[in-house]
Amino acid sequence: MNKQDDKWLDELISRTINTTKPEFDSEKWKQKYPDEFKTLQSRAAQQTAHSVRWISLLKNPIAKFAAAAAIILTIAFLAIRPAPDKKVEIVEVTNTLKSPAEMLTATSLMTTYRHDGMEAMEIQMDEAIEKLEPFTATITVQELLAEINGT
Amino acid sequence: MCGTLDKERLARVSAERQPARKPDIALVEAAISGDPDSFTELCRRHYPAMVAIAHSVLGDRHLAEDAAQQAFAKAAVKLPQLKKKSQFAGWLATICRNVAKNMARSSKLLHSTDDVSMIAAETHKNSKSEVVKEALSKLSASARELIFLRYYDGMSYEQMSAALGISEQAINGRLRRAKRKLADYLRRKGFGKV
Repeated sequence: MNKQDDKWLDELISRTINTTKPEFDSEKWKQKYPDEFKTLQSRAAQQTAHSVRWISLLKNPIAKFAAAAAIILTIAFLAIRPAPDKKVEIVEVTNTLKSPAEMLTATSLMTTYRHDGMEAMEIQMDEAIEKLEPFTATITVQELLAEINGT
Repeated sequence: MCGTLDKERLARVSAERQPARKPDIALVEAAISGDPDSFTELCRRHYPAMVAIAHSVLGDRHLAEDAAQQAFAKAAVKLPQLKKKSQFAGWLATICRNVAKNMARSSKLLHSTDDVSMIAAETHKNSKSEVVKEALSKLSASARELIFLRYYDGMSYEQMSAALGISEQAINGRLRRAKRKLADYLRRKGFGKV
């Protein structure tokens, strides 16, 4: 179809279809469908009632105390509860420390102390020392370095 | 592409729609949370498109206006069930299409080819508009709907895309095919200089 076709057809269709733009009359619609309009309005009332219910509930001193207690209990629970995920992660980190040099770094020891306490730190140190022993009298410097670095 | 559908009219329509206005989704949310004015604003906004859709089914302007209003009434009740609020226009169009089809069935006005051909034959056989109406009735329901939306409300492809939930390219293609069919039919009836 070319532009001339378009123009000819557009004119014909526009003339045939009543192209007066229809205007929506909301007042007439409300009168014609009162129940449906009431449904819309009742939603507003429901929303207001819901808000009022919350406001009145929060005005009640007992409800206030209950809400405060619930918040405090939740915070206390979260603070006291050990973090299981982190522990698993630490154990994995400790297990991956294979060389005595790694096991005896300040960071490694500090991490173990913070998460598992003094005993765990001591165990880690013992393990590191155990890995280094026993030395033979004839060990070379290279072997010693290799031992220390866990290579 | 616009022809007499007119750049002027399209410009006027788009100018009317220009002023900064709330998007549909905001009005839908407001209506759901109990603001009837937002709902009537949505009705005002989509009324012409809904009348066009209903007209394409019913073939009668007054009945189409009734159908559009009835569709709004149904939408008012079902609005909280709308899951994708951004697709309000498409959802409303579906309701309107169903309302119009039900009205057509109940009043036996369904835009069937035979009915319109008969009416056209009985009455103004030589009337141009009757032949065009007959040509429109030969189109598929979806193609006829596109023609009505485009010529009735002067909707842009973008607006049609939002209302019908199909891409602008698809609208362009379907509209072109529909117009070609119309042109062929009308040429066979002795219309046009082409």
